[in-house]
Amino acid sequence: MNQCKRILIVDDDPNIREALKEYLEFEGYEVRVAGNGQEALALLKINEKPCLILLDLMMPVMNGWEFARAAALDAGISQIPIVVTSAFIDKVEDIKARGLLSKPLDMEQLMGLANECCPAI
Amino acid sequence: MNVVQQSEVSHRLIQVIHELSLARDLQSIVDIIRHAARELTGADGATFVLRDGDKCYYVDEDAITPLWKGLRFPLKACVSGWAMLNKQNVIIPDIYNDPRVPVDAYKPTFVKSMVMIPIRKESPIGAIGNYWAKPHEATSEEIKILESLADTTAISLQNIQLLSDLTHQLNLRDEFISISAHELRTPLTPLNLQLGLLSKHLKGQSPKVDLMLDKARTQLNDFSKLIDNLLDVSRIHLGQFSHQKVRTELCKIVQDNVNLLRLSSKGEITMNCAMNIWGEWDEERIGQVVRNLILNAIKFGEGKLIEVEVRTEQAMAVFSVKDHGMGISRADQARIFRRFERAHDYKNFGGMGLGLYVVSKILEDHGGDISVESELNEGSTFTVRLPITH
Repeated sequence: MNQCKRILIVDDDPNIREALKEYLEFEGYEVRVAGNGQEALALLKINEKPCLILLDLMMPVMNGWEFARAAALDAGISQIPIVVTSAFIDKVEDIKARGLLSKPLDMEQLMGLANECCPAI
Repeated sequence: MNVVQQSEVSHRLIQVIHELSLARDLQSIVDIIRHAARELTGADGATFVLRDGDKCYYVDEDAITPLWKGLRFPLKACVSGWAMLNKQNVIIPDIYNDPRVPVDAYKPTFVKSMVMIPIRKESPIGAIGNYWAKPHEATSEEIKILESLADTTAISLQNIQLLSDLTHQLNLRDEFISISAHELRTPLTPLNLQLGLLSKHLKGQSPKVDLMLDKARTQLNDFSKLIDNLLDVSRIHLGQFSHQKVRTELCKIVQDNVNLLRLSSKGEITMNCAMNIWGEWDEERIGQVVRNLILNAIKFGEGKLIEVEVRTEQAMAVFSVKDHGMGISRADQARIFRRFERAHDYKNFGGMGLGLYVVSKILEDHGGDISVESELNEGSTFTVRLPITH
């Protein structure tokens, strides 16, 4: 896998994107952000791959469920672990996720999952 | 009318009133009335008409051959319209000899004579009609019977209208709860993150700042719990309140939560667990029940001893939380498990009145229950019973 500590945040709420980005950067991660599934797919095609995708579900343009389906079909992306971050973790259904975190996020749980998916170099 | 007939009529009228008391929609009322109106007078046809703006709507009928079921006519062009507009009974012994009858509409039918009684005479909302295939002057008995049917119909129609308004208002309320819970929750995530970040930057720089950060986090958690309660309520209402039951041990759940809350209590909390009790329960939800009951005991227990006990009783797992505080009156004990109810004045004790409601729903879903024993000024004991499934 990637020897990176790079995380992609996919969330339509700019407040959450920003705060989460700052938090993770403080923890030493390199962070990219996308406002919906479509933006995320575009970023994943042109940039180096992250070791973890934090995925919100309810988003405009392309929601989390649609993104997860598209990601599973793309060999270059399907290996990247996804952690679903949503107020609706009871509706995750068929997304193959490494973890489910309900909002508001428990940062200890999130950091635990991030460490698992992105081990230190 | 002889005595036998009279007793049959009153028997049938009593039956109609009983059936109407159970009717919950318009069609049921119409069905009851159209049959009764014909049977009780022995007429050849009966019709049920509702006022629909400036039209008469012939909703349904019970007649030897079809009349005008499903049709709408201008109020001014039909006999039921005349009865409604003039707030008067119409008695027509011969339809060919009355200017109020639109004869062309009646020619294809069997009708030779009729009566039409407005429903709610002081401000009519409909009418009940009787028709005969031969000239017939309706008797005062027949009119009285139809009038009493019209009176009970008016009440029933008003009741279903009230029921429908009420249901609509309740749905609006529940929708509002659901939307506000989701909206209130949205800013919590970034707020929580900012606070976490703030505390990473500032932690350890001064004991005062550390304390402030801790307090802010505790308050944010409390706020978050309140919103979770609201969300639970809306999930219960929408039937989306799901549980994940796994094999789990009750003493541990209770002990963990007692430990968690001990610091919040002014008085001592004792914990007595006779033995480990395993069952198939949703650990998170049962933990929520335990926390709710202990937090209530802290809130209303006046800082005195709180006794928590776990035991078995006739193949049920039981845990109880006993406080020695202000207690709950008999009258209030019956209300507190309902939604938005509270035993104590909101001005003295905050909260939304949702905790015990959610608790009782969680237990219901587990096949268990909750009860309370309490005396004013002596304290309360809440007892939860859960089935032990193997």
